[in-house]
Amino acid sequence: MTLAVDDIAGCYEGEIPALMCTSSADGTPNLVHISQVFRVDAQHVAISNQFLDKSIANLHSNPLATILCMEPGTMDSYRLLVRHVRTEGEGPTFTAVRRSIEAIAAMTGMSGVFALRAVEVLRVLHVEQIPSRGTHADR
Amino acid sequence: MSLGALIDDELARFVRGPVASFLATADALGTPDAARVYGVVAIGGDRLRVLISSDAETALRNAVPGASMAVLVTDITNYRSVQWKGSIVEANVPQTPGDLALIDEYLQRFAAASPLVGIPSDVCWRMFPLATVAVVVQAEEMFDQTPGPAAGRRVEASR
Repeated sequence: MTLAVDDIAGCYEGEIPALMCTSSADGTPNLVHISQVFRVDAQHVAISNQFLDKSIANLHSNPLATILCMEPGTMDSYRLLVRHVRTEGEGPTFTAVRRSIEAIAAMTGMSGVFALRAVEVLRVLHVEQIPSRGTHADR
Repeated sequence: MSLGALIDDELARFVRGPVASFLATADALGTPDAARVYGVVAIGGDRLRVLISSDAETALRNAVPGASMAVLVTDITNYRSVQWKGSIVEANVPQTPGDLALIDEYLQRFAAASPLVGIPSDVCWRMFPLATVAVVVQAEEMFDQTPGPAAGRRVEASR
């Protein structure tokens, strides 16, 4: 099922870590957990760059990535195909992400450990729901 | 290519759960894809059999023998994460009764631990697929992917 960025609001709450897959210039895929996916606007999402050295290097050589995220109430999963468009080290998105990261760190006793380096803004090319036993039961 | 075991006995136990696991592939143009894994078992010291949804069409198109792949396995209780990179050996292997038992074990271990991370046990079944297929992968490199400053550090094979 094809969806829009605003159809999956529950995925942006950060309750369940998301996953991002990038690919290097030679086609080697790389997987990394991301603490939260942030909605920027109806066409863009953002992720926090804390310890994403390999993923960021990949995005600079191949800007496409796939993100898997999950709605915590239903465990419904979604796949986003995205293209990296820019890195932001300041501004309203960066500030909002930093506040969220600091709140999560404070709750988990890890303040200062997961310092935010930058925010990576990604244009969403496609959103789809991943079929599952749950989505089948809901029909 | 590894000269030692990339997947030792401890890691073979680790991948059985409670974990969240994923298979990454890419198409011929380098477009990356990730598919959730619903069961992992080690085969010897350097291969994994992973179960993905039979609906994971992109992953199954990409997963041709010899294609590059990555498998990430994360303990949901402490986020310990290990990533193996290597190549596809065999894909689209039909589901067996043993696979059904492995999926059930994976689900039960996941659901038993999920309240520790705020996920009610009784919804975990919803994320599992109606049917799976197996993909056998050859691990050639291993990385510590536990979130933190050391994430991405290459780990050498045990001898």
